[in-house]
Amino acid sequence: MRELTGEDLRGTLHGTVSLISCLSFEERSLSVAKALSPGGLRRWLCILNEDIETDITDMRYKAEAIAADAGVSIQFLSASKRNPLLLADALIGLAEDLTLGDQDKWIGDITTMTHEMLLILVAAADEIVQQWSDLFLVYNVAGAYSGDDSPEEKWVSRGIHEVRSVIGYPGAWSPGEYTTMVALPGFDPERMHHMVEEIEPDQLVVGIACPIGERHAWSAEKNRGIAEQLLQTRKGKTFDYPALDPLGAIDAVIDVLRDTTSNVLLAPLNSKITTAALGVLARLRPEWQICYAPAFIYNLKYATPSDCFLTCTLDKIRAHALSRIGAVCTGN
Amino acid sequence: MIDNPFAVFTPEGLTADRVVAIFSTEMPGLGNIESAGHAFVIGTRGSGKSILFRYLEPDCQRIVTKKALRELPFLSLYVSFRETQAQISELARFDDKHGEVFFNEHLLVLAIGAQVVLRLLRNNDIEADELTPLAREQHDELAALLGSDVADVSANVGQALKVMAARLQTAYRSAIQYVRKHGFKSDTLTYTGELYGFDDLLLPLIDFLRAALQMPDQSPILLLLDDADSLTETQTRILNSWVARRLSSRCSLKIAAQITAYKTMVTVYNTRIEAPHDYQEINLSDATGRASEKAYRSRIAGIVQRRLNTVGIVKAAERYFPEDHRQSLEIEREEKRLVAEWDAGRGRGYRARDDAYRYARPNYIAKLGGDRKSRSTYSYSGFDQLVHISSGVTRFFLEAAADMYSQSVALAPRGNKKVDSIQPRVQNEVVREHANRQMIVDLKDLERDVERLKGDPQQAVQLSNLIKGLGSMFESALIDRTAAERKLFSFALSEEPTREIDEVLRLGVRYGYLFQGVIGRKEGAGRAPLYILSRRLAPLFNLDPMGFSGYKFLSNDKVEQLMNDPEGARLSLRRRRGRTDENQMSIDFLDGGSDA
Repeated sequence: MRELTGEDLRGTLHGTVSLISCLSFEERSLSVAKALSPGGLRRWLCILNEDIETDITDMRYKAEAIAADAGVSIQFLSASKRNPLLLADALIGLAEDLTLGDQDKWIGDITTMTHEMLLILVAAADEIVQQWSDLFLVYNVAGAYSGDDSPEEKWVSRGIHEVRSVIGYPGAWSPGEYTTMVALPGFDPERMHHMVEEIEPDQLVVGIACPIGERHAWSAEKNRGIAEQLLQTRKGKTFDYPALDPLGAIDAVIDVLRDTTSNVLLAPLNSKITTAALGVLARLRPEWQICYAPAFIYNLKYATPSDCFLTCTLDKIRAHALSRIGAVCTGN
Repeated sequence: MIDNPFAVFTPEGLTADRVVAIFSTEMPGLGNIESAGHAFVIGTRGSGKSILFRYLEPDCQRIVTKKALRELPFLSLYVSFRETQAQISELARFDDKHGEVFFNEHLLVLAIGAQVVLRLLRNNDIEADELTPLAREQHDELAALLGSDVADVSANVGQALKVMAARLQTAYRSAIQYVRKHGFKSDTLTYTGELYGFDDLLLPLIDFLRAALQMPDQSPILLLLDDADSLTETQTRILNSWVARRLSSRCSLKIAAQITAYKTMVTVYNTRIEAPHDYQEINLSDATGRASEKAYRSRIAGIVQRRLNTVGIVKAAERYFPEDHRQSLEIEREEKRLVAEWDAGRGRGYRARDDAYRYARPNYIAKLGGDRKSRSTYSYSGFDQLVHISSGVTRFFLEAAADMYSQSVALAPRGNKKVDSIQPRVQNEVVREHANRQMIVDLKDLERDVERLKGDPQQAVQLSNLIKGLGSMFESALIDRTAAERKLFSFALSEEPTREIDEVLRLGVRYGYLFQGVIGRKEGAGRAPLYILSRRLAPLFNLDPMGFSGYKFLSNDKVEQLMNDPEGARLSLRRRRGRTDENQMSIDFLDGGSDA
């Protein structure tokens, strides 16, 4: 994962690029577009939740102003937290779009996509939108989480509507066998707790995101506490994985599931970077299912933008995952 | 490390010995479940549905009856729909399409079949049993149906069941591969594989299991279908269509679901299934009547004793969870005073003990002080109070008891970690903390952060307002010595609810703030839903959680005011009460939480 400033990001990309992002209530949803505009954008696809309750008109105006500066107009893709097929259908339409040139350099701003949107995007890149097979992922690191709240009070979302598999990751389970759920909670332990309650896995494996260096160092203890809480009434174990490092997350998940013979269910709710990595991994292990539960509420003051962008390509993640899976198969 | 006897684990993973040790047989309708005929076991999450099913499984029943498997009075086959991947998003591509019902049924019967076969093998020592000629014949027919063209040479039950499970799993995975292709396809693809259903696969499989295990024809086979609320609407309609059939001679369906989450009672033929014509209904969460309350108390007492036995403590539940001594003496004194008043001709009820029961505890709470803070010195302790506070949900009782036990272990002197009883102070602290957690962590934050919310904020705030409004209304009645009915915990609507009200009430029931029962309509014709405030919230409003309570009829206008105009509701309450207790009506949770 490379770490860049906004200026570096623009310099790295050499020329104009096409962007897919998600418009949300967060300022962070425009950080990448701002960094690329003006002059750096050729095309801008923007996912928009149809059933969003929060009024994001202001954010939409801001997005359109950025697009105007760049000389492009935004093409919105419909999504729905109640009907995940809506986004899949929008991507089917996109794949059939003859104007989607093979030569375009595509950037995926994954910062404010929901975990489900991001996973559907990764599946579509693998299955139908060939131009995204080497999608350049960008994530704007949060300047601060949950405002001035103390570490124990920081939160991102609460409650769930339902638990469902993510489009593109239904798994291929053997009914009747034991189920192992790999949970990667973020700052929404209550949401993950509800998911575990709904799924009732035979074994719960909880990943603890370990911050690297000083960035968000305070989160280490919080994440460990969340994991312990989830395991209070379940058989299971924990494992550590590096936060904000897709390749490290893949290594950790492969290691922890190395000897598993049961059905596997992945539930990523930590960073979008880890979620993207698990999406790529699960496409290579189609017997594993990924599940998701739309949140009941979100913290509208969850995160502030920063001038720090993490980048990685789908190709790089895929190559790493393939090599690790190969190594496991050959016993290395 | 001492095992916490009240710790709650999911029953599916418990050993048969443990289940038999902790399960209380004082369960409503247990006899009906054990006999032939379809039944729905409904209850809130944590009401004991899954442990009931686990208890009925053959490995547990062999311990209970001390009989061999083939001698058991019934054979139960357990399935959890949580494990059948019901919510595969791609399946929505088939909604309202030709073949939707057939394909969903195909997936259901394969998943159910594989689960029952593997679970039987896992939990019972049947591997080495010899396969009878009849079982062999049925096995071969099933194998042929599942596409096997190679003669199976399985010599014993273990091998035959393993092979059968593998075939079912292969067919299931193959079907899922077909589903998988629809994630990024707008149209459904042609399906060229086999399609299995209830009649041609599941029933023959059950017949085969009866033959393989040599169960007599007169012993019912019970298909225990747990977590049926996890099914999609289409799958639910398929299941209902099976219920509509008379199948008792071959198998009976026992379906467990959460009360409000079961999607529909309609079949795929658009007919309704109804009790008692099509099935019996057993409600594990019905604590709305005196008889069911008594049965629930008795069940919890049994569970406490059984769990204490597992850690070597032999003690009645009432003695293990004693009430605050000073408080119980004061309440007893008030009861005597009320009886004396009644004897002197100044009573209000038909019998002296009615007055003592209805008014002693409310009078004691009212006497603790004029404002909310003083009344919050009331101690929520004693087994009976804990039973009522758990609101008919076994898990609520056990979770609180587990926390009380853990705290008591932490408080015990070093080296003496056996907890012979739970101090009233510890009981009170845990009960109040649980009430705070439920209300403050969830609802209060929703209200306070209304501007920060995305999702369904309005409904959450409306629910928060409604719960607080109801709590204040009930508290107001409790301390009003002139009120005819002072123990209020429930309300019914005097008219059909608006859609807005209905959605908020459903949300309240779903999240456990309200429970649902039924009562006769005010005008005398038909039944109306009754909404009961969770007694777990009693400490927040200084309510008396004990006993069967009265209820109020509320109009839609009143409920809408409570939901949407909390200030107006508060002023209206204040006007009625004549400003006697403003603190009580100011719904301040920071002051009202704990006396600790």
